[in-house]
Amino acid sequence: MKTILVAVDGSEPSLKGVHAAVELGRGLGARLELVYVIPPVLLPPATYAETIKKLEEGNAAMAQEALEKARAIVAGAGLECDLITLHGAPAESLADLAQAERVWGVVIGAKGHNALARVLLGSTADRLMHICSKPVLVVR
Amino acid sequence: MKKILVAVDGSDASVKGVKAALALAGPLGASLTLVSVVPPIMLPGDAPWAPMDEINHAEQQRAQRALTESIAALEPSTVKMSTRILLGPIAETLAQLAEAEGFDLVVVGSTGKGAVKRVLLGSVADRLVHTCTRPVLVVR
Repeated sequence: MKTILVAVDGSEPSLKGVHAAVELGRGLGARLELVYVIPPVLLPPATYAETIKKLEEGNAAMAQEALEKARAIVAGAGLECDLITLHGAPAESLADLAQAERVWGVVIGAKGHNALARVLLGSTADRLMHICSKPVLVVR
Repeated sequence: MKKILVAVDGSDASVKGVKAALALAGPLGASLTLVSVVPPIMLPGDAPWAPMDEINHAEQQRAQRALTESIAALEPSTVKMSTRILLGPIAETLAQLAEAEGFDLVVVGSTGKGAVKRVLLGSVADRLVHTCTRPVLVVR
């Protein structure tokens, strides 16, 4: 059975992406893997270990929250999915995971949390389009 | 997803795009519209001798051939299909059509006829994901 990766960051377009992925998944008879990528944070060398720990906990909590929100949509549609959290550069991490044999393609929101309101295509979606070896669906 | 638009130029990626679109349209009960866009031809201003009628006619025929061959390459199915030939800048024309006629998905091959071999994302697909307000699936 083929798998569709869905990039999730909790943003509005990414949730639209989940809806589209559900439809695609039904059409293709594929299962879904919801993927949240925690990007690396550059910190000054003198950062307290305590601060780093708090950051990591905050990131993990945000990832969990976004993934659960997305899972609720998938479950509401009567499908099952797996949740995956990765650490690294978002587009590169998604493209790497997409190379796996089981993956049919990747669904991603046209822009996430960081995009300027005016921009139609965010940097992660743009980068993913350029480096991913599998089909990519960009959802708005 | 009820209306799927597929960009066709006769390239390998576009044939893959048509196949992917058909695989989706079947189970989703969507209709397919195959569109071949003839880009405007630029000739130097001092070429009044250019047989424009013949050139345009040849381009239209090429577009028609790409559509016919794409359909011939498909497995027989009950999906409702129609074809169109449009004139204009390729990505913009596709984006406008998708928006004007409320297509739910636009499918495009990652690299068409013009792309350099090494490139993963051609200029039309790139421009389309940047300008199209409807979801875009880039197929490789």
